[in-house]
Amino acid sequence: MNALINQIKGILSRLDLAKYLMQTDLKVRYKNKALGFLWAILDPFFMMIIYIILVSVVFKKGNAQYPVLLFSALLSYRWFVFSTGNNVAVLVKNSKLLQAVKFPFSILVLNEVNIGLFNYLLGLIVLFPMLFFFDATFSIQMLWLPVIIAVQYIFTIGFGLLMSVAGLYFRDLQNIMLFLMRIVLYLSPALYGIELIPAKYQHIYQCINPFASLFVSYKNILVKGLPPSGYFVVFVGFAVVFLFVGSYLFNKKEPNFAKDI
Amino acid sequence: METNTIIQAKNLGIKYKISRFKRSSIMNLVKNVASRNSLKSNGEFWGLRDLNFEVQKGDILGVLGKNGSGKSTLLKTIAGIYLPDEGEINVKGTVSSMLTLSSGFKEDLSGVENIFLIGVLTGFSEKQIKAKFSEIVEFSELEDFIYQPVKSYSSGMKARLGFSIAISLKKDIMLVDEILGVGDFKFREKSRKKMIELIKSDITVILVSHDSETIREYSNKCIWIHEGELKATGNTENVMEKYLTS
Repeated sequence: MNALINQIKGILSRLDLAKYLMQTDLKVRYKNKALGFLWAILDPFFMMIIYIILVSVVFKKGNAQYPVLLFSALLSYRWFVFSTGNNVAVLVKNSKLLQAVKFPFSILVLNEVNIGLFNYLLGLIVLFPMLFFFDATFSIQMLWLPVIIAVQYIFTIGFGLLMSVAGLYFRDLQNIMLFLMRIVLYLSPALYGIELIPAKYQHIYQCINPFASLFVSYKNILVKGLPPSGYFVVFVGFAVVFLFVGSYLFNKKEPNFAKDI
Repeated sequence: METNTIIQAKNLGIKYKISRFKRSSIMNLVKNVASRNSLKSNGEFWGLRDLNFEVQKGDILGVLGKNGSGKSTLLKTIAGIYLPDEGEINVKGTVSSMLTLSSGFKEDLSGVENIFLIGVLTGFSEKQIKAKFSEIVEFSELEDFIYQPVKSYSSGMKARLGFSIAISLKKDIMLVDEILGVGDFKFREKSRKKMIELIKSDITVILVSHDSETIREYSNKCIWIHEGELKATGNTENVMEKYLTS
């Protein structure tokens, strides 16, 4: 608990830095490109098109809403993969900075999650017209969206803190995580519906895989007009555990970062 | 602790671990398990040990020592980047490590953006940086290049920008590592003048150099470190004499 408070205090004391890091990172990412920020929207749009073609035209599978069901889950996973993939390497990437200036290093982890969130929100600009196009059910349940996003934000920060420390001491983790995150995607109900899992395993499946309830919840509230999955509490639990374990480990190891790099 | 004391080190020790697992990878793990090495760290050494010294406000402390004697470790400890493994160090006031500012540059960003990035990173507000902005740009002599990405700069230009930022965004304690040799001849003269100005102000400076002439010229106090241990401390002339006759 103290570790978490300590990290939050550190970040709050340097909010201007968090803001400036995000601004400059976004500038680097999209500046010097003819289409600039438009890429942040075009990128998920093309991803969407590819899946629509693959599923509807090549495989001729899935129901009429399949592309938009898929996309509502995939967009959130894209955020998780982006932020986590970067956070595994974030301390190594910034090693020169860590050895030159002292500041709350968790701001670097937070920054990767913020940029992922920014891209996710731009992705929603692509998603919402698609919801109309694919005749999704617009309902009051959509108001859950900010709540689910907020929990995913905490989940990704906690996991990012954990991964950043682990990635510093175990460099192979960068490669391993890219591979693992791909497997987890196929093990989670993003490309398929939860119905595909045999009924007797559904309970245990949703208890051990946090992404199961996350993806079901996104699909429910955005496309089906249903409330979030009851198993969403599992995801909340994972988020809280990662946040505590992550900030504990980060807080404990932070004084050694500069030396151990 | 005297009221004027700004840095005080008591039995300060900084330990480095030499571990084969520092950069662990699967291959190393396999190799180590295969050769039945223990998984624990394989050794440690003290980068600094039993250091006792005091710095008063306004002092120019010269740090003498050969390469690898622990000078940079000492600067990083004063800057708060390394924490003591033994003893303690009390620093009253804010610290700027001029030595490494340019290593924080983001290559894709312009000089202007990097001025703000480094400024915010080292704890200045945007307003404070804006107030010093023209001074930094003017001193760096980068002119229109200031709007170009830093990756297009020569190493001399980067050093000039780093120096200009550090000298304009002042802190209570300035850590200087061989800074007098930055840029071409003209710029070196200019930065030397600026350094003297800084030294004459009430700012505390820690000056590291293996050129004893630089230290003799500017510092009023000296410490001599050899293999992580304090060999001598006191006023510059006394320490210098011991250092040069060693």
